[in-house]
Amino acid sequence: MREMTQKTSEAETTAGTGSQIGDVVQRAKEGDRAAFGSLVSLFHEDIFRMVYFRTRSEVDAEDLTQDIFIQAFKGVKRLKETDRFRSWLFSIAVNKVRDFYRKRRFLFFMGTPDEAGALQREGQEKGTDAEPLRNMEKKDFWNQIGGFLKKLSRLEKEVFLMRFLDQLTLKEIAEALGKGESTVKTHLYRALKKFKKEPGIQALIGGIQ
Amino acid sequence: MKKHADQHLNDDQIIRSVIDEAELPRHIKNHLDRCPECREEKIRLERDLTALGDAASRFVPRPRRVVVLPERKEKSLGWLAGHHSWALASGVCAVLVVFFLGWNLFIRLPQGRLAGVEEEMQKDGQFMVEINDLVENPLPQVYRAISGEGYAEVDEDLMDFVVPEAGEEPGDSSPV
Repeated sequence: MREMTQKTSEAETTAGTGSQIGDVVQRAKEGDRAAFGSLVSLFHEDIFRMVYFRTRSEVDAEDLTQDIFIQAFKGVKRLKETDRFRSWLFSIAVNKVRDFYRKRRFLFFMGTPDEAGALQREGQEKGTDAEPLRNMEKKDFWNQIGGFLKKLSRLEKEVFLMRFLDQLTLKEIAEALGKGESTVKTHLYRALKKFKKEPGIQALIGGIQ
Repeated sequence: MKKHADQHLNDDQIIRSVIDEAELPRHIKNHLDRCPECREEKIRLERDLTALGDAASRFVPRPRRVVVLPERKEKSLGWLAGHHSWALASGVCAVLVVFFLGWNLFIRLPQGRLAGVEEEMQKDGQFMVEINDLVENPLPQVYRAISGEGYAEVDEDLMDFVVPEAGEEPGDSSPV
């Protein structure tokens, strides 16, 4: 966990300290377009990665990332606490991904060609990697992760991903999901219990270490 | 107490220590601080989770597309921008609706409808006359006859004869 905390603080240093970010957010709130541009640069990769973890499609991750920043740009004036920008941005991202899946389920139910196209696109993306070995490794990794995540409830999955893949703090997760910290801990505990008992994921970690 | 402190942490306690070590009960935390085996167990789980996060980040492509922000609205609208413009638009619509309704009712009224309005006005006039009559003589004609109010004028002459007005002397009659 020390490594994880270190990693989060490293990310913060790269992005600037909390108070510096707060200043930039304040300027963005006042309508400074360049300030918002800096925030996009700071969090672009984090948000793209977050969306990719959940969709596993590069094209969808690009589209959703664009939508998330546009919504944040329009709504930043209404953000009351500037130091909560990161968790606020992640809350927008969580809702966007949820909407994306809701829409996809609806399209799948209706049997529209758009859905078929999206599924085909996802399949093709996996095959575009130039390195076949790495591509295989990547595919296997995401299959294993996907198999494990399917065993978790919606909230367990979200909390697990936010804590260990997106590397948010417990406080940030609670803010982003609009839940109490104790609720977050309870779901994280359940997810970790399943994680420890999952043989596939343990073997996967043994392979990547 | 000592017995508690000597026991190794079970799986649940290791998981709880990974989630938030500060929330562990004091005796468990003390044991974790002193016991290298339990500490190692905790670190192993944290290392696994960190490795998972690192691998996941490695298997994510870098974003290729640049985020394009929408253009801001022109500032020439001033205070009308945002919510005010909606309120103003609604107000203008309401005024237009009232204006057109008024125009249709009073200006572009068909001739037939205009005659109808005049007739209504006449009826209203008659009705007001009836009301004024009732104010002066609230009793119906039959009751007025019984009460003698129907001969009001005769009665007045009689009363003048019987009770002359003040200032008139009994012998003072006007010359014929």
